[in-house]
Amino acid sequence: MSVDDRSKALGRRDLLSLAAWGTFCTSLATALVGMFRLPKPSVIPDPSLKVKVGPPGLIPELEYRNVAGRNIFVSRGEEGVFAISAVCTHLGCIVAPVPAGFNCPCHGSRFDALGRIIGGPAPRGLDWLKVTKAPDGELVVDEGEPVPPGTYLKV
Amino acid sequence: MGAWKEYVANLRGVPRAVWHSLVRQGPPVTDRSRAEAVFQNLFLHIHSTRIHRWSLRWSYTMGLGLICAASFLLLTVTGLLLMFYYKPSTVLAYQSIKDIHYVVPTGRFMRNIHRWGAHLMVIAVLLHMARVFYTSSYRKPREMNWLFGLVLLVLTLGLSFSGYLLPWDQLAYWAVTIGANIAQSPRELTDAIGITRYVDIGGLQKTLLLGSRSVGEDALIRFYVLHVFFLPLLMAAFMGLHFWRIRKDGGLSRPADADERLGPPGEDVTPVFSQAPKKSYGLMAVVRGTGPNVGRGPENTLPSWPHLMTAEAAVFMFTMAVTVALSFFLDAPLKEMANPLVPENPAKAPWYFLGLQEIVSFSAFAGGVLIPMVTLLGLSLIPYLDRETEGVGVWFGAAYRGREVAFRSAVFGLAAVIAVEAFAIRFGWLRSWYPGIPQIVITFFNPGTVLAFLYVAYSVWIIRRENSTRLGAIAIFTCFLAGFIVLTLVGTYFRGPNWEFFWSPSRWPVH
Amino acid sequence: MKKLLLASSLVTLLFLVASGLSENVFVPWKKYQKEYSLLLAGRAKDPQQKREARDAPIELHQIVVPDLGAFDRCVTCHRGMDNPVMAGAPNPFRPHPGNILKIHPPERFGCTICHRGQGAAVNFPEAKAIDANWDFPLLPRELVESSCGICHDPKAMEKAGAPVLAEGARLFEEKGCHGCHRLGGLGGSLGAALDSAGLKTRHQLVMANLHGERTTYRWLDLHFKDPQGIVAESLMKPDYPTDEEARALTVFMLSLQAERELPDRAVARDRHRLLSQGHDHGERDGRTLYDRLCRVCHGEGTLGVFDKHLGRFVPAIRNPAFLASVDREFLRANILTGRPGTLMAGFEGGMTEADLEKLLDFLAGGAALPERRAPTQRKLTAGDAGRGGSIFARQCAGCHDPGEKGQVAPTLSSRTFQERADDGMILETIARGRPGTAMVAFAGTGGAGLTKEELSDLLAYIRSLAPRRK
Repeated sequence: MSVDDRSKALGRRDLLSLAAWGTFCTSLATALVGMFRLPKPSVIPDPSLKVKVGPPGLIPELEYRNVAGRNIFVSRGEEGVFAISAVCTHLGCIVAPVPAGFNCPCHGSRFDALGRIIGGPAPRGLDWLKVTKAPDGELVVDEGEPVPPGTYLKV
Repeated sequence: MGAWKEYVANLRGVPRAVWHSLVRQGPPVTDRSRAEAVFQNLFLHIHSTRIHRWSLRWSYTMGLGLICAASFLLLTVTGLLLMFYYKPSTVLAYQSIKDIHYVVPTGRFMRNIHRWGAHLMVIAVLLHMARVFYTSSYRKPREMNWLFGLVLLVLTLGLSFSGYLLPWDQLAYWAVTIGANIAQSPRELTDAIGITRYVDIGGLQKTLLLGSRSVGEDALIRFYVLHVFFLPLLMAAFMGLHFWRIRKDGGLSRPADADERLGPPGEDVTPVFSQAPKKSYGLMAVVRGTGPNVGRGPENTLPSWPHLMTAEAAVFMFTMAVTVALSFFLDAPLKEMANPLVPENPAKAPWYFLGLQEIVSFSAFAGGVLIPMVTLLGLSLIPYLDRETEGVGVWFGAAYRGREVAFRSAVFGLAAVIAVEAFAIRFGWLRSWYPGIPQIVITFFNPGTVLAFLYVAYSVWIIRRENSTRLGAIAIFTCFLAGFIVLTLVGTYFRGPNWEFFWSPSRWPVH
Repeated sequence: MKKLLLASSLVTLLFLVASGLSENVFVPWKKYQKEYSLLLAGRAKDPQQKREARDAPIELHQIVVPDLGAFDRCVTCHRGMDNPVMAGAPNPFRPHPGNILKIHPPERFGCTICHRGQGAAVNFPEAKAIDANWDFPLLPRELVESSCGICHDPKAMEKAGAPVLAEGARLFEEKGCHGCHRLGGLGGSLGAALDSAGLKTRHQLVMANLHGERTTYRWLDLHFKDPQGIVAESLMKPDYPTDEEARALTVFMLSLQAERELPDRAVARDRHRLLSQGHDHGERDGRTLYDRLCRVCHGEGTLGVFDKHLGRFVPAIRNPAFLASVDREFLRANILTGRPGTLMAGFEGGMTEADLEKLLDFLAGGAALPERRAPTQRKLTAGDAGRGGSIFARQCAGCHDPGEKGQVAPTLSSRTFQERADDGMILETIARGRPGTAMVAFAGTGGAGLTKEELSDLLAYIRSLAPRRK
């Protein structure tokens, strides 16, 4: 095919090719967009993060109680009841209570008794969690709702 | 300093260099670059670089094989996506399908495509087989590829059936319960001759399928593994073989006189050789005989790029358009969650098994094992029994009496299946007259086997009368196709609760 | 070929875009959430709240309660459910009525445990699930009380927010439903046991005669009003309840879900007791038991009654003449095994031994009913069954037809009768009759004047009706 032949062929037919392959690619791209949207869930299938931790009388004073099945520590100070998340702010390991506060077993982050960072790679102190009182008098901790450290519930 | 300049220039040239390392040949405008576009590409090199014009005619292939491949591709992609959310456990499966339906982004659409695409694939595979049969394309050297095709047919049905259970709804549960009991039906035979205690093929098949006595957690996980791993893997492997054999067998079949039939090529066709080459070049030491094109007329081939590529893309998009349109308007069915205590009535298998279910309703063994096995065996023997050479690559063999025989066989096949069905529906069968009749009699003498016998007898008669095995093959294939279609329609539309006959579903009694 | 490629690609593109739009833009719940934001902003007290309301992200919400199997997305549209500010707003935005959400926090119970419906759905028709392929469609508001009975004792709920449910439980006992239906370990076996009646799906009920919405609750309601109109062959006595009564009974039926697996934390203590021992177990006296179990067929039991619905005489089981001829053993056997061939089905397993003794005491009516009456010593001449047969055909068959048809009086061929009734009792009854019932005296001047020989012949014939032992 000479160069002349080719330029002659560049008429209606090639416009058609262009349109055909163009829409082909466009629809495949649209389909790809749909495919990539799929893996991101639109609702998180976890149950409620609120947990009942019992009546205020059962919360130990100046001592931590681990709530069964949850990574929460509840305690009662002079100002009231508070809850601290046991999830390390570094990479999500679960901290263990020690006499001085909390130690993280994974990368050695250390926190004091009120969850403030005192060593290791964690960028900030442990999260404090919101504590409310349910109508039946029991206390409810919401794991999904961190509050500023030092927030107490008066009881 | 020179090195630094070169470094900066290289840095600038990175996009262009990456592009050239990716696309090595120039624009596909010359024969050479077009050929390179095909054989230098991993994904395209399964194609030959040039394709005969006969293979590109819609009226010949109707793109059916491509539709099968395209729907498999669509099903693979949508299936992989659905696997992100599907949970194969009896407790969670149904809920996860509901989630896919209601809250997963594009989930409902993907599932619809997966469902309708699966149906489309089954139809396309059946039609593709009919096309290959009616154009005698199974003939030597393509016998083995016909067998691969049959394997692919069985795999397609297996994939579709194994996927049927996964939603864990009433439809799935009861359809698979029936399917598993069909697998168990050889017991009907072993029971009749009293050897079930020693040889229980039926029980073994059912246990292998379900991993348990009834459809439950074990069955679900088995079906899941079959559906997402084993069967697709086999399918891909056999598809590879199927495609590879197409090339090794010289492309799609075409009549010996294809070039004359096609007439002179159009102006967009640039033959490689304008006249028959007298000599062959080069390969004497490697290849036996003369070179491939010595003594042949001008080639009637086109470069695969862009002609075949356009055709393939067009068929792929056509498949996609059909499934996407269906999926937009129709949601894939999902009934109540599976409940082993509340049987569906009627409990129906997937539609492509309803023809089988219809003959299974006469005898589980005859309908579920005997007739399908004999049919498959017959289909696989076709290329070895029919060794005539006339009429390859043309629908019904053209000059030949194929078209007429096919038409007559269709009429006979329809008449026979309708007559046998009507008789069985109107008057019942042996057991309605002699309640004490032994099962073994019914197993081998029931409407299904009678029908199969009629078809076989008809084709034998055709072979003798027309003195042609090819026409006999056409007769029996057409008859079975007619029977399959009618039985499937009866099973789908005219069978209601307790598998009784109804003129339309609106007349079903409400239980 | 290029034209096909162009056309198919365009069609594909069209439907891809269309489905993208229909999934993301034209979605009812998004519209509701926008409306809710505006409503909430309109009711905001300060600019801060207003801004928060306006900027609330439009997203799916759901309540997940794993141990109840609930994934309830109702809150995606019912955004104001727990927000008192939305009081008086139109649905789906108004707050949940009453203080129920305080007692039963949604995050611990979800929505569908009480309201049923398809919690997974995110549009109303499919959440309501009347025609969808879903077993438990949304309950109409007036039937939601039924769900209290899943975890609580219905009778304890009268003043606790579910008066209709409590009324249904009361009506069930008052109307004698236990007579045929077993519930909580008490009741007959003629009808279906009802412990899990509330878990029945529409596929388990005969829907042929139910026109309109085919839901279980509509079926129940109409079935109470006209049993035979819904299930033609039903034996259930039409009771012609008022609309309120039918509704209360429907609510009670829907609450019966004994087979449902529930976490311990959800089930009230009185409910545990109820499931294991039945209503007021150990507290009911003979009179109560009679009213619940026997009265629906036998009435007061002192007079023989012709039951129009059953089309036969129902034996007067508290008739003094009857009681004078039987012993406790006879009554016990009749109650436990029933009378085969009649509608008297056995109560074996449908009452405790203590209950049975209480019932027997009540039937005896204070009179001393011997445990076993000594067989009558009267000397009998051997009768002739052939002659007895012709007397029977003349005098007795009108009511006691030994065949299938026309049987309006107790069957004499049943095994229970033949084994438990001794010759003396039979002769006595024929000769003297049963005052107060349709059975008159056949001996002496007042009756048909049967002689002693004829009585013996008759007895011989009746004995010949006994079912053959195999």
